[in-house]
Amino acid sequence: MKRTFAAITAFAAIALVIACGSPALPPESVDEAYDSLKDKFGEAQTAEEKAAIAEDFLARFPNSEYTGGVAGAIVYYRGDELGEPQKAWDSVQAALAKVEDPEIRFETNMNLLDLSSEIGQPIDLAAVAAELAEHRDLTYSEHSDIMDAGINNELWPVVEVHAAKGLELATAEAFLADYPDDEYTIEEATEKAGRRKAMSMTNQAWALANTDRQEEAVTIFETIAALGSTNYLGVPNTDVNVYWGKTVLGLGNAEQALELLAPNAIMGDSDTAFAALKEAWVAKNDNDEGFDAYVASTRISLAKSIDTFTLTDYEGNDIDFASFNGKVTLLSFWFPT
Amino acid sequence: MELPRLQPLFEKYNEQGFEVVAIERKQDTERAKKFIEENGLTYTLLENGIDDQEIVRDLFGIRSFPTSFLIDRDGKIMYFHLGFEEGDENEIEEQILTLL
Repeated sequence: MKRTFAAITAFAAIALVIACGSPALPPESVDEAYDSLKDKFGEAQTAEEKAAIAEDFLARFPNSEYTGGVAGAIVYYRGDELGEPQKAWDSVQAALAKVEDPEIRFETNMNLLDLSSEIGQPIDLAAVAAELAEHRDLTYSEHSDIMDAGINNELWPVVEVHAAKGLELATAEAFLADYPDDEYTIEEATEKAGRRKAMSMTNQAWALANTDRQEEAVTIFETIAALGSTNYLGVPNTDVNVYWGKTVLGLGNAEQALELLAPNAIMGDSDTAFAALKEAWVAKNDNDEGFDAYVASTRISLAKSIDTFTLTDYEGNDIDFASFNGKVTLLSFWFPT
Repeated sequence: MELPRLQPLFEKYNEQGFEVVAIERKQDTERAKKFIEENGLTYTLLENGIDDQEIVRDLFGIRSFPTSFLIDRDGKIMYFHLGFEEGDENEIEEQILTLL
């Protein structure tokens, strides 16, 4: 009886193994799965394929160092390219619910910000930032990203808090500490610190302007303008004049707004500035008549004469730029990728 | 690299007095020569100088790339473009026509 039973059990076990094929392999590790994701991504042709690959990964591995990046891919392919933002949101939120690490949560939430505006599900940016800040000091770069997100989403208290932090980090020492492996000189670091200061103050002032403290904002804009720099074309290097212009326009000073906005609008390739310029014109004149003529004549008055120079072409000839006088020339500066 | 996008504009308006001059910030002569040949670029491409011949950063203060100036026949910089996205050629073409 026992032997028969053993034989039947053994037979059943063999039958089971034969039926199921080879014994199960150990489960794929998250790193292996991520490598596999990268390979599949490389081969995928459509947004649908890529979205599916990312979603599959995140469903299997919601909580890893790759979460933020993969979430970003879902936001892009499912949310943007395929136009299914709610679906993208839901799958990332499902993963986020399983994540406790504040670094991963921060990265993932920052990747969700634009999507959240789109579908009208605001993210508590202040809480997201605070969660990470409890853990460690944020970098200037992170404060800057939060400021930008705050401005885009009109979360003015968040902008103010992080502008103040940005200002604290607007020193040469802080800059050099952020890039220990690069070889910046003190002069370069000081210049970069100056830009951090201008950007932080600009954002701070814009937050004030949007929370009924326009006069305070204007004082700060004036200070920034004093330490500000302009580029080769005479256009301010930061958007400070754009914000300042919009602020004074809000205070009813269309004439000053035009003056402040014109360089960025006409010589700065800024759509925001251009739109504000038109708004200022209409505020001043009650209609948009004459606006095009105003832009054209202002363009002429702002236009700088190009300096001449001599460089070599790839055939070894010295080319004096002055030789292009009398021509209409597109001078384009490139950085090889 | 979107330098090839400038070639059609150049070909279309060169006879009417339109020129394209492209300057690369970094020096990589052999790669650039190869690129020019492979893409059939016939407009003017110049190599940035070094030390006191460095003009991209030192003379023009360019920090973001690509940056473009559209200059009229009198040497006045009339239009400025940051970046070169698909479709920018159309805007630039309109601007060129106002200056030719």
